[in-house]
Amino acid sequence: VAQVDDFTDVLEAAQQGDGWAVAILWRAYQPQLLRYLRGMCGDAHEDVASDVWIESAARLPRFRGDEPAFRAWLFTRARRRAIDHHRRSARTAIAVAEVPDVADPTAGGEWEQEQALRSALDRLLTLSQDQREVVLLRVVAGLEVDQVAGVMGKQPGTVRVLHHRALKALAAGFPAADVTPDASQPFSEHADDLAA
Amino acid sequence: MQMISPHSHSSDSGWQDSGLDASELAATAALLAALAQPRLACELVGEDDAVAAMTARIRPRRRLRLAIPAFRIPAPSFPLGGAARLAAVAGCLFVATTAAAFAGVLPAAAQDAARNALAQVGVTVPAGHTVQAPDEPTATTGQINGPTISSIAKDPSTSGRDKGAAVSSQASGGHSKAGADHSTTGKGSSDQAKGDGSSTAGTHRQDPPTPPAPGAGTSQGQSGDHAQTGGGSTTGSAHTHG
Repeated sequence: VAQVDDFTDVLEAAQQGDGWAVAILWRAYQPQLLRYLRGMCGDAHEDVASDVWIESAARLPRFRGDEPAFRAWLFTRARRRAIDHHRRSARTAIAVAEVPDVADPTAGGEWEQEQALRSALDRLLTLSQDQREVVLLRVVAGLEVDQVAGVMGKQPGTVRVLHHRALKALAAGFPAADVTPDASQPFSEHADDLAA
Repeated sequence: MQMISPHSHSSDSGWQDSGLDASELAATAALLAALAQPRLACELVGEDDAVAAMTARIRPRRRLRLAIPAFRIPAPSFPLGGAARLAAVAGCLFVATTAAAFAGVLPAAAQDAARNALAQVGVTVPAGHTVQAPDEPTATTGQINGPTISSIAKDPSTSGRDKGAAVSSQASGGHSKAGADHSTTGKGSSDQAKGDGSSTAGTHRQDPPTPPAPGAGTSQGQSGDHAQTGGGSTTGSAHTHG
């Protein structure tokens, strides 16, 4: 999860309309926002993300809180925009398979990372809507259980159950040979959810 | 912090209790790692436009200064300014009342009160007056003229038309035209041309009946036959004016 150094100063400057501060916030949260919306809105994720940022910018001067609160605030708006998008399009929410391949295969490592991300988002399609959203908010947005519950309007216990079942469903869906171990990423909290 | 990895998860009791084998857990960990991987360059495309659009939408919040003093209930106080205002108001009222008293437009009672008050400071203003009906005779005038009119009525040196004219003239304060030559007006002129004094009464009958002056009434009662001309003197309308 991206972190912003001196978040308070950056936020205060952004609330005054300083471009450099707005750019820091955008660079820090845009990737998470895109991935979340990619899992929620499919190929419309970039347009929806733009709407989220524009709306958030208009309301930014009135925001009060720390960095976790800002993240929850931002993803709450993203979720509302995603719901609005679904209402407008009246189509199935998830269309990850339609995501254009924006990564350049010649870019080497980043292309592989992009493919891994696409594969992961495709895997999330096997989950229910709530399970997928919980995973996106917990893993991609990096929100705590209470924050996810606040964003989704559910009880924290419900969020924990959804998260546990989602991870279990994802793990059960992998064939035994499909193991690409990566020891560099910490996911102990999700392991706890899975073991709960 | 615990790490999900093929090397560590086997020692985690929770993972062991989850009923999943190592490969499934490792695949899940890899999936989660892919979702949470650091930002990609392709995800930051269009940064300049996005930041410019956002900056244009940000309107710094102005610190609103609520007009709290406007909601305060002013405490009752009488500073010097308040006393000065009271004095100014009192002065304005005095000047206005004095001006109205000079103009004589105050009600009679107020005019009299103002007259008395201003008289003490050497200012003279008109006294209050009452409006009186123009045709209403005053008792005061009658009381003054009564003896005089009576004496005229009793005077034996005059009689007839001349006595009536004298009584009427006295009773009316000189306004009566009894006995005057009416030859130039209407019907009376023809009567007057006859030289008949009795016809003069016909001329005077054209006037509306008016109550006789007290003095005239007295003269009639005391003059006997001579008072007949006084009766015709109603044209004198023995009333006084204001």
